[in-house]
Amino acid sequence: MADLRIKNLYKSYGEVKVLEGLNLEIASGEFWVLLGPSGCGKSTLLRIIAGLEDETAGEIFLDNQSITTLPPAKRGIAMVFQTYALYPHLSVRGNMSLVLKQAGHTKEEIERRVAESSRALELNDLLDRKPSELSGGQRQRVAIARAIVRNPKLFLFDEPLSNLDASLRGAVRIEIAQLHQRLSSTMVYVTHDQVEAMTLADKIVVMHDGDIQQVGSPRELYETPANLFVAGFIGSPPMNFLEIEKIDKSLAFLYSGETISVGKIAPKTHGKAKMGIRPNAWQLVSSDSKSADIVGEVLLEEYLGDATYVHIKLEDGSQVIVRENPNKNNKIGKKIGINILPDSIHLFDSVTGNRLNG
Amino acid sequence: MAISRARRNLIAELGAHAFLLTFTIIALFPVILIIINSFKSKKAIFRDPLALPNSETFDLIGYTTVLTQGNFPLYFWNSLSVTLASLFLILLLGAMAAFALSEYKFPFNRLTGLYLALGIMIPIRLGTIGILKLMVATGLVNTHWALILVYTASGLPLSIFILSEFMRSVSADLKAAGRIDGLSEYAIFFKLVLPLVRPAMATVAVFSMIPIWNDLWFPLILAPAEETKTLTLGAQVFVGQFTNNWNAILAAMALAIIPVMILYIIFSRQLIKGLTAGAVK
Repeated sequence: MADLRIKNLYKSYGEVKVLEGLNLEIASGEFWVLLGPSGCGKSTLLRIIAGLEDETAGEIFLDNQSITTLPPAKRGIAMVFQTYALYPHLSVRGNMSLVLKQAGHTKEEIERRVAESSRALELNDLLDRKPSELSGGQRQRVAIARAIVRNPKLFLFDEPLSNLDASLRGAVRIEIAQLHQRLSSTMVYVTHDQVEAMTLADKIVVMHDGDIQQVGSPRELYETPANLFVAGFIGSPPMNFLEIEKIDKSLAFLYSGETISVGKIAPKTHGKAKMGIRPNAWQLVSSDSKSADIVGEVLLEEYLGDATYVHIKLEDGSQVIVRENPNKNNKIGKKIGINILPDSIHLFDSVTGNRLNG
Repeated sequence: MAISRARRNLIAELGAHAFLLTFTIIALFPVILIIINSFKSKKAIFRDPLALPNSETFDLIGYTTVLTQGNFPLYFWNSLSVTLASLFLILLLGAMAAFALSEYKFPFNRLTGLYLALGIMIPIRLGTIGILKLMVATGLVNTHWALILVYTASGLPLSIFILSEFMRSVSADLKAAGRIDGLSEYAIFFKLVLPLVRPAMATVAVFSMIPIWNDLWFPLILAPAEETKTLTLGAQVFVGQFTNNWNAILAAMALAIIPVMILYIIFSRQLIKGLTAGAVK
């Protein structure tokens, strides 16, 4: 149990800047997820926390003590890797006990701790197997057991589920969530998968190009994204964006001349903007209905069982996705009207990308 | 249709086997010739070199000459110790240099790697005179160390080149896991990385071993004394200016094959053994 504080962290490889002045404060026992597309610097940040890479500038505190200059083994952390990184020549037991041997624990202590964590992850029957004799899910469980056996102050996960197939991914994800509930240790988890991030995290840090875009709970990120990047990144299928020419008297003017009421949520007047609407925040109505805010033409239907995603081409040529009741049937090529639920509109400035409504 | 395709496959397979068999025969012919003639009397060798030894022509005179005359057990030991010591140093130092080149970022890393690999293209024999002067100056002439040092130097470039390529492919996560678990850099090198590049080490060992074992040049120049003579140099006593003792030469050559064969079998087993399977996906 420990809190992690990152102060003004910079990292560059020669001319290339990877992280630019990051600040984070993670309270003890929280589960934080670093989320972002590949190349956003999230893995680099994790490796710097672990001590596997040197920072260019900045400081890292764990439990109010600077660990910036400590070697990885002395930081009191444990890490789980995407590729499992099990020692191929050691048995499961050997993999788990190596770190304790290195730390100089007694034989009884090592045995007790290995037994404890192998029980926690149901590895008792596998203790004498080599990693090559295990399945992918079992290997990742061994890697997690190897991490908890040392009682770390901080757990680091580097895309631990990416190498598993879809069904196992769900199962191991639940195991990690239960692990966090049971140990209530501080955990930092890196992923590019928003489902993992949304389901596991207390707090999500959305990163892009070495910068933090937004920090918040999954609900905050989904309901009030701070900028265009977060809005487009969180949610599947992604948020739809409509170009707005101007906002005048709480009416947003589309380039096609149609207007949409933005209600009380937005500034009364504004220049160019983008309007974000999630696929489930509008409804299809008939094209000649009075309540239709905009009209378009059905391009494609994706039937998923519990919902249908209808792809619609608007008059200005842009495409949007509407989540629809799967029982309704919309013919391809049919003219259709869309009715926007005014409370679920997100507005962003076109130039800065920042959120306009509260 | 199906039948004719099967037949065509059969013909292709036969053709491939015929080709491979021809090649094998050509490659093995000199070796077999040496072995069968080493068991024959001198007259029989010249009367019918291709014939197998029979009750009339069978003669162990070559082997008795080799094992009684001169110091062949000693020569054997010399060759073996020089070869094994050189191999050990080539593999150890080569792997260490390769690890440094592939694992650590430092200025001129690439350039250093290129410089170390340059030796592959430059024959070490060009420097024989310089090497001899150096050995005289350091008093290493007529010692095993003269040979071991020269062979190590000539073997390192290829070893570093091959091993550093292989070490680059060892999972970075595995090394990171080792560091987090508190392993020293030496432990990471010896316990994690070396076992994973064992097949590459075996390849390097085989490539380096054979020229060292067969070399005549450096033993002749740097260590021709009786007590440091290697097998190839020792066998030269049977090569005269006017007559050659063919029985003894063939017997010595046949005996010289055995240790190389044994080492080769040991290393090739390692080549096949895939330790990495399942360690990382």
